[in-house]
Amino acid sequence: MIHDSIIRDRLVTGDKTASDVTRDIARPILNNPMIAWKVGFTLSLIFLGIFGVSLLYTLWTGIGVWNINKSVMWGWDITNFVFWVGIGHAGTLISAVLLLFRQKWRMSINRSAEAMTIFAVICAAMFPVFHMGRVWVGYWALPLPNAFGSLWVNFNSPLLWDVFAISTYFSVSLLFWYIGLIPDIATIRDKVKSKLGKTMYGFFSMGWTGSTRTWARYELISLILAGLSTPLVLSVHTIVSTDFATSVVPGWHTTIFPPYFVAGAIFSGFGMVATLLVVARKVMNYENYITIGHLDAMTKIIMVTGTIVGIAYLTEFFIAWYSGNVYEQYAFTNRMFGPYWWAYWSMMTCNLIAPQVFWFRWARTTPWFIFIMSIVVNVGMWFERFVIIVTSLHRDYLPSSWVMYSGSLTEIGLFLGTFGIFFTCFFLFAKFLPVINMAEVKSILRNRE
Amino acid sequence: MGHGHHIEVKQEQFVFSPKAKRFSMILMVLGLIFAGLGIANLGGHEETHTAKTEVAAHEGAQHGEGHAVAAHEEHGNVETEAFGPRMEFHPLDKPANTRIWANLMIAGYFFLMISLVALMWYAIQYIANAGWSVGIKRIPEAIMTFIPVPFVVLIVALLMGKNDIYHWAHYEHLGLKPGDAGYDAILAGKSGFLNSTMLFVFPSVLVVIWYLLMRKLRSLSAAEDNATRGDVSFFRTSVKFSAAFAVIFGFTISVIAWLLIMSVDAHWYSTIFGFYNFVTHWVTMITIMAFFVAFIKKEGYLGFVTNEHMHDLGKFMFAFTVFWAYLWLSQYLLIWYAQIPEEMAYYQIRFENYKFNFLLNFAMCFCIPFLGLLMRSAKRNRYVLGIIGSIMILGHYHDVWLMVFPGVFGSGMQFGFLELGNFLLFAGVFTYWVFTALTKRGLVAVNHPYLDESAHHDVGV
Amino acid sequence: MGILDKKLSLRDRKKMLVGVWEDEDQLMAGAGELAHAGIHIHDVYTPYPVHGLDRIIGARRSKLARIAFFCAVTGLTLVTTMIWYMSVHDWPMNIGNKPVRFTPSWAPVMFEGTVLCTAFGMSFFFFWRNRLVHGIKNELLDIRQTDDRMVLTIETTDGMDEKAVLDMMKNHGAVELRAFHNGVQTVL
Repeated sequence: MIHDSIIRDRLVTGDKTASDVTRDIARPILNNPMIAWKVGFTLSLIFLGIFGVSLLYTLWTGIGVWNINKSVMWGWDITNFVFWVGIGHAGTLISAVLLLFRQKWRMSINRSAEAMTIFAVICAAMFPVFHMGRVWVGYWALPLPNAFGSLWVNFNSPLLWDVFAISTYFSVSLLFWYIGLIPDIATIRDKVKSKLGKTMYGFFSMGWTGSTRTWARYELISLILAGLSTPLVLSVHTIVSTDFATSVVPGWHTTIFPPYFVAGAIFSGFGMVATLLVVARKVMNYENYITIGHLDAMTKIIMVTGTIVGIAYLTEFFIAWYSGNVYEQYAFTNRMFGPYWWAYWSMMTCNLIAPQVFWFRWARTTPWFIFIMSIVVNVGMWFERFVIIVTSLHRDYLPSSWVMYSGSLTEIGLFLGTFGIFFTCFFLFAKFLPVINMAEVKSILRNRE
Repeated sequence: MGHGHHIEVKQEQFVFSPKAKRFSMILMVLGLIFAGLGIANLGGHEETHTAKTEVAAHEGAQHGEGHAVAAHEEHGNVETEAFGPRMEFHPLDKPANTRIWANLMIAGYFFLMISLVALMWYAIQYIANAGWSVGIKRIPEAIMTFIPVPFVVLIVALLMGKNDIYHWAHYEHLGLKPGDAGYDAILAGKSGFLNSTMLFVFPSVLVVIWYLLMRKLRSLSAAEDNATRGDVSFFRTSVKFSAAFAVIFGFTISVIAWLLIMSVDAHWYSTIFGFYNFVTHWVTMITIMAFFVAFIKKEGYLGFVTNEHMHDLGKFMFAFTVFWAYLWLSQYLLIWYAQIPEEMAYYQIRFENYKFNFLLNFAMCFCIPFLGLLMRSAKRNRYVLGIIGSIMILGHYHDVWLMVFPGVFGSGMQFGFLELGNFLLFAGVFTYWVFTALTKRGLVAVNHPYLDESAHHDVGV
Repeated sequence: MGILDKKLSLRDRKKMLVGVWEDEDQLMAGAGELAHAGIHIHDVYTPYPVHGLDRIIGARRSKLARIAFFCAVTGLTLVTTMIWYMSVHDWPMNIGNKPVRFTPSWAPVMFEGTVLCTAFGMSFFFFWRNRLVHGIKNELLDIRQTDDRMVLTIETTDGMDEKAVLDMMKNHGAVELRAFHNGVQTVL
């Protein structure tokens, strides 16, 4: 570590010592919440309320309150599902893939990104679950014996793969996150004053003492979990993409979908990480931990993955022409110049063109600009899913089923409401758990001497 | 991690030892012998058999709409009749030397991609600020100089054999108009992309651009060696040119794969094809790189490149083996699942007529390396890496063969002496070339800002 | 050999010498010299992973990777058997004319099941081996060992020159030296 090249940026600035790290990062947990936190949390609760109302209305009246009772049978719901699952990819990517590639800059951001992953997956799961209509028999999606009401599940169905993929992804991410948290929870346990705090953090720290033997095994299990999570994170969005790609719907059935969805997921996930961290580093005074260098690295990844997604758009478009298949050709012309042209061009602008500004150093190092761009990325990726789903469905093989679709108020409410779930969880996380991995950051303080 | 002790790295000069010469010579001689055996057998039993069945089939079939029937009557499989009109068409009166041109085309494509991917590796190391790989950076730097050789071979092979290799080129040559017997609307629709001008001009233009960028990067690297220590300007300029190359390459490499390889099955299309081709060559290039590292280390060079570096190369081989399987499955699963006739045709012909090769391909490119490289100790063992790596290189070459030959010849071909000889011959030339390129400059990038990191590399856990 | 690492608990330790450091380099140098002098270091408690310490205290490389492989094979077998039992053996169904036998479309669920079993199986062994249990009493030698201090422990044996060991620690920058006797620490 001492041998890190002089041209590398310092990962932690401000000449921090180990005890400074503990003090800075544990501060929000040990002190009373800040005003900003209270305001943000209240806002999140309001959105959570919107979710509750929309959901109750949906459950009480029936799924018909969504505008999907036509050939566009997947609308905002599945768009939102894919959107959130995509966002839920950056966390595990940062903690697993970047760990395998020994990218030490991940250490300041992996904790919050993983938390974001878990909350985003919770938001995502809402949509397919409630799209089932009769959620009370939702357990039929599990491989339970026939006596429970359903037949055995169909293992050839990509929707069932989703059940396995997302539940595995959720639980393994949670496990990975928790194992990473144990040493930090122990640090809080030894700092916290209140009795309840001592009990709770004591319970979850599992008696961690920081023994060298444990640390050695801990590092190995992190590495193996990273090795497992890397294909896992790829498989999840791959399986989400097969929900579309195994069908024979023009615009959906194309072999590039798996890697292209994964690239899109990383892209949107990093977009969301940037949104959160640009704000968090400012509000929580973490600028020495999440440095401009971190933002620079993240925006570079946003640019690369955005470009990969753009290449995939162009590939699909070209091969649609090349295939000589009139349905494919129509699907793509319709995307560009049909009634939903605005969605397509929003997607292209936000995802392929906009991230190219990150070629300029100024754009990569100016926090407020990165914040705006991260919102653009999120909007673009939402539109991508909307384009894929709605433009392909609204033109059926049977022209008499051609329709237009727009989300109903309930659908919009549900979507906004998931931001309530997401941010409520995130604010609670920021209050009760260390947002930055203290133990790992301490290990890179002496990065260069 | 390397606390306390410091490793001094000095410049080394690689000498093309007799042992290395002998090795590449043996490859070339073996290649010539096998290829000669293969050529001697060209008019042999296997070939006539194929020709006979195909001609027989041809007589019963109309040109154009009869594509399918040709392939079906061979095995009289009623089920496959469903794939009727879109089944791949193959001109049936292929001259015997088509096999030679097809082989040269595969070898040219394969080694061109290897050299390009080496350049891509080199560029990515710069863009990603990779430290550990600096100690071995001369190897991709030498591999990438090979670009012109396979390209010339490729162009010659295409000039000689294009009409027999590519159905669409044959079709173009016929010059049919709408309404003519055998007019194929789909191929006519593609003629804007699949035409002879495109086939030669597009890759040539790109190879020139890539080649110039390669020369630029190499000259920057040479200039850095002669500069004063601590001058990072060459490094920074290299990053810029690397980024330029990566973008150009990223946008164009798929097009090359479509134009040269996917178009062999002219009616078939798959959007993942270019990416899949890239990864096939990427994992092969990493394996080849590992071989060169192991070899020149054994010759006594690069003392600071240790088992830690080999371990990381082994990890890359393993990881991209899995990634290759992922892409392979993505393509196969989606096509298998949707069962659209014009897409199925590609796997139909390979699974029906080349079942052994089809399964062998998956075993050599995934199963064997996956199990072989799973353990940590395997990745740190030169002999295991050698055996598994050889299987991988041959497996991926065979993968390219499997993309081309069934499309060109229909049934009845096998990866025989000619193919093996051709591969070994090229491998020999390639090795000779790379060793020569390695002697051209010092083995160590002494002024690279990350050299010290590489010298103290430790995989950690 | 049991799964639980017996060395981790302090309850069985009768008498130990404890050195506290605040600097990683000094600790490494001190630990290195102690090990070099043939003194067996029981453990070092650090707030973050210090690379190379495990080799100095003579910890063997973990066998976790093999356990992970074992869990993976188990998981793959279990999930494949499950799919085969449900969709081939017990109640085969013709859906979309997909064949009722092993098909490529089993691959996703097989993969997920394998990963699930591996991750949780391996973690279970990890927790067990490292004495990580919810609600267990934590045995801290220094309240700041999870913050910024590093605590090195040596079990005393008959004939050990305790004075020399303590001097060695002091010379290498230990900020505090203590004796640990049946769970009670006294500052030296």
